[in-house]
Amino acid sequence: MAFRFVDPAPFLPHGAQQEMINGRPLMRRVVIGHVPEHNHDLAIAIFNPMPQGPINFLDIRNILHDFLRNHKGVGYRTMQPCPHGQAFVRFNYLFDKDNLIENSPHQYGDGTITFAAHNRA
Amino acid sequence: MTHEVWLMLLGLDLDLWTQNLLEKVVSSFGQLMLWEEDHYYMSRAIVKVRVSDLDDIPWFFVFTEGSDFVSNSWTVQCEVLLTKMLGEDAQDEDFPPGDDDFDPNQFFYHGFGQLGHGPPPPPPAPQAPFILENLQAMAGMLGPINQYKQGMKIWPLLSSLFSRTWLWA
Repeated sequence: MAFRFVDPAPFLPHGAQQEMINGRPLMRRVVIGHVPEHNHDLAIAIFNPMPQGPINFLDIRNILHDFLRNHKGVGYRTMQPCPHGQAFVRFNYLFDKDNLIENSPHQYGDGTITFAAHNRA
Repeated sequence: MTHEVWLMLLGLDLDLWTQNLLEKVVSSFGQLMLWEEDHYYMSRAIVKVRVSDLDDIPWFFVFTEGSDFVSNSWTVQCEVLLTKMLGEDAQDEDFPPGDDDFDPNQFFYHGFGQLGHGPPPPPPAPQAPFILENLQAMAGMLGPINQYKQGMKIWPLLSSLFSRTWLWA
C-alpha cells in the first residue's frame, strides 16, 4: 500500500469544490476478497524528474505521445490524467504495455519515463 | 440518514469499479444511492451516498484483498464534493378554492410560468382630439367610394346582355 495524499483540485468535476468537514477519521479498511484483473492494457506513466510548478496536462500528453509514437512506435488508445503518476495510458496491444513496464525506466530527453501497471503504481 | 453526499473516490483502481464493491465500501457509514461510472475520467469515481453523520466519512479507504497472510492493498482518497441535509419537508398543500369559487379564466400563471392572469392589456390608443371633424372627414372620403360602387352595379347587367348576344350569334 502506498499512502499518498493527492491535491484533488485537478480532478474535481467542473464547478465542484472540496468541502471541508471536521472530525473525519483518517482511514477505514475494507476487506474485499480476491479482485479479478480486467484492465490488462492500462498502465501509468511516471516522469522523473517533474517540475515543481503547475503543469498543463497537454504538455504531458505531447511528451508521452512523442515518446510512444516516434521513439517506441507504440500505439495507444487513450491518455488521461492520473493521480498516482502523470498519465493513464491504455495501449493497443498488451505486449507493448508489458514490454514498456519490464524495460522501465526509459531514458527520454533530460529525464526518464517509467511505466507501471495501473494497480501497482 | 441525515445527509445526502456526493463523494469523489480519487485513484480508485479500475478493477474495483463494481457496484457490489462500492456498496460494500460505503456500507460502514452510509448507503450507496448512485454511482457515475465514467471511463472518460479513470482517475476518479463519483458516488452519491446517504450518510448518518458527515464526520463518519473517512479521508482514505484501504482496500485489502485479505485472502492470504500477505495480500495486496490499495489506498483510495475520498473527497466530499457536495452535502445536502435530508429531512427538509416539502411545503404544505395549498387549500384549493371551493367548487363554486373556481373561475376557469383565473390563471395563476400565464405564458411560460409568468405570474398573473394573462398578458398585460395593450396600452390604450390615443384619442382623436376632434371626433366630429374626423367623422366628417371620413364621410368625405367615403363619398367617391359609394359613387363608384353604384356605378359598378350597371356593369353586371350590360355584361349579361353581351353574353346573351354572343350566344345568339
